[in-house]
Amino acid sequence: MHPAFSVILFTTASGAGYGLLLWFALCSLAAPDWIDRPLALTTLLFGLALVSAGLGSSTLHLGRPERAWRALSQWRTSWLSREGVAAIAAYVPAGLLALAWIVWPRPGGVAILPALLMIPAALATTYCTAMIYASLKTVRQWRNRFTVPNYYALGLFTGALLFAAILRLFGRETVAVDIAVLVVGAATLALKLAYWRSIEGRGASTAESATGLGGFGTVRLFEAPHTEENYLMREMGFSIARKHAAKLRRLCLAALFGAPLLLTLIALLAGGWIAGFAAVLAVISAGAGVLVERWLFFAEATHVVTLFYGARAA
Amino acid sequence: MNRATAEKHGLVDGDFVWVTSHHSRIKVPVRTMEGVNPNTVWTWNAIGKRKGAWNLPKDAPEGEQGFLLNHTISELLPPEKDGYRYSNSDPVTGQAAWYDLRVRIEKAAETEQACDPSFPPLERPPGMPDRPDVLRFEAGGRKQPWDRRPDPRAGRRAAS
Amino acid sequence: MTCLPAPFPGQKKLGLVIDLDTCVGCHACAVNCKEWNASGHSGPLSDFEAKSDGVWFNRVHTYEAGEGEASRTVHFPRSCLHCEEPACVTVCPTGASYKRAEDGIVLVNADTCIGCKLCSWACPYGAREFDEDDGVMKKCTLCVDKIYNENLPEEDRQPACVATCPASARHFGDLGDPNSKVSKLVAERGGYDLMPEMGYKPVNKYLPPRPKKTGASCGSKASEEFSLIDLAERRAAKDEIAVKTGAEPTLAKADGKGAAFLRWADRVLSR
Repeated sequence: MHPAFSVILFTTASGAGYGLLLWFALCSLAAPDWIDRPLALTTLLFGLALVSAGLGSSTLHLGRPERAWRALSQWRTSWLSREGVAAIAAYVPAGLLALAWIVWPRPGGVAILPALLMIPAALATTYCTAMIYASLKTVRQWRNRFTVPNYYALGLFTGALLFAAILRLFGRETVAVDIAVLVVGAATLALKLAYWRSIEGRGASTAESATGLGGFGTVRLFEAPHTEENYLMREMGFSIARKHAAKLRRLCLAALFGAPLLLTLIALLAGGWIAGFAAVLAVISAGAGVLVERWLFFAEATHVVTLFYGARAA
Repeated sequence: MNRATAEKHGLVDGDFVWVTSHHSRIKVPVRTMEGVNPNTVWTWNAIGKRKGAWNLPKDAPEGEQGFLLNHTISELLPPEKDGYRYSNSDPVTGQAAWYDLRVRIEKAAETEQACDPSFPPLERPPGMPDRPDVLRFEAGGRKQPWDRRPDPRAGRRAAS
Repeated sequence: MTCLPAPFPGQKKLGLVIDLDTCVGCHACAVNCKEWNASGHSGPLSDFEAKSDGVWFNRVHTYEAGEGEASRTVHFPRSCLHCEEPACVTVCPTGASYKRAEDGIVLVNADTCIGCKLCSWACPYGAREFDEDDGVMKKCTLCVDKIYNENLPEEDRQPACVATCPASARHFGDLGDPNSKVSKLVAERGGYDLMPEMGYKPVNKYLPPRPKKTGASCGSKASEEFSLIDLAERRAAKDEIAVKTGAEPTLAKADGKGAAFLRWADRVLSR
């Protein structure tokens, strides 16, 4: 599948943003005295900026972005519509949290309900985003039991890395958060590896099942319907060679997991300004890594329409 | 050409071959298939165009990758005993005789992987307008985005 | 609305039946469809530069199946199958993609489509294409603007691709009616679904190529099986012997009127 940058940015930014907002909400419920106004507003600002940038980026993928508001109407059947509704709904608890921290230096009880609502809002929106892909029968690499867990894990992991970095910039002690980063990071790594293992092999649909001509023998495309590319081939025919994918997977493992986890460990052990530096570096590395991860999520996906264009199985 | 015949010549899809007749020769890419007589080679007619013909862009694939069998076919049959050369056409309809040409196939060298012969591009005839970048035959009436965006490709290369 | 219409007994399921045995791969259906839809609700179907790489609702592939002489070269038109359970409809976030309850035709409303392309991701058959010029998704309309058009004479109220096919390889009708011409054709010839494992329940059916006639049924002795290539080689061998011995070649000799002309023609053709 063609990796559109606008969609890659959308899913990674909104995943990280909702992850960050979710960690903040958890933190403000578990340890409310730990947070002060500058920290809260910075975190909420980053979170809201990321989810807004994501939503904005997603409209760049549309042929008619001026009609994007229509996408909220079909939540009964469409995961894309549900994601739009959930994203807009998630602005409510996030906005209320921000408002509470703007109005009061320590909102206390006022912030409890918005924080409580923030958690399911973030989880629901991330779920809907993941289901846009996981619900498609035509792309077997997406219709996979690891797709939704991967979206959750990556959102929580990148969000946690961001939270740890912000905390350090405000001079807070972050042992609990660092441990959370390491644990979530390890789980995310395990899920990612499991996902890559699960997409090996060939699909169940073949050129024979697509054309129904298998009774005569092996089906080969003799002549494509057009000598030049068309939309279908540009959008669904994009594929990456195995050896290039392998290189990018290694890059992803290093940038998204290797470096950030190592840097988090260093931060945990070193403390002081080294920790702050390491935490920011971890965020930058993970940011690059998650873009590669999402690019591969698209590039390694095969669509069954390619069976009509010469693919043997998909 | 037939896949089994191609294998005998050590050819796979995309290899270039010299197709030589009594008259001339051309160099063309090969595509293998099952459903053809092992002793027959064929191609689609008139897909190849001279560069610049038909008001196509200079780099159009019809001119860069397309080819014509015409060059291997003589318009005149070999001379009779008295030197007269009949037209190489069907005696009843007068149509050009295409299907009875015998050719020899030879694999082209590695360095020769391009169509041959190739001719300088045709210039656009004077007075012929430039080709439009977007072919649009519209009904009119509906409010259309291209009134604001004349070249969708230029706009879209920026966003994706 | 992207909820699928609730099924009911006797429901009309308009669709096409494509005969892979008679299709000659001329692409007339693709071209006529493009022309008909260049104007009207889906139009224009813009193409770019000289490449004709814009939206086409119908595209004709050619496949080879099998090996050697038993192989088949099959021309294969591909367009929207107007499925009974089209995911392209349910994934649409705006409701622009919908399935008509009255006849099952799946359409895109070009005025409300936002061009998110998700429907084309959901379609296994590549029925939907994104029009870069218009910014919306477009697809086969089953000529809904032609089949009900009372300005046209009755015999013209069929899809453009069906009307134009010179091999009569395309048929249009109600596949929900077991007594319709198309349903009977499907039953007779064993019409099948494409990619049935996807579960979209396509309404359009494809008729498989008929088995090839073997040498036995071509008029030779039943016990004698040979290929056309053998025949050509044997005839060539006979001619060689004829040339060597000075006998007449195997081409039929005509006597009387026209014989001289035929002999001349034979000479010219034998070069």
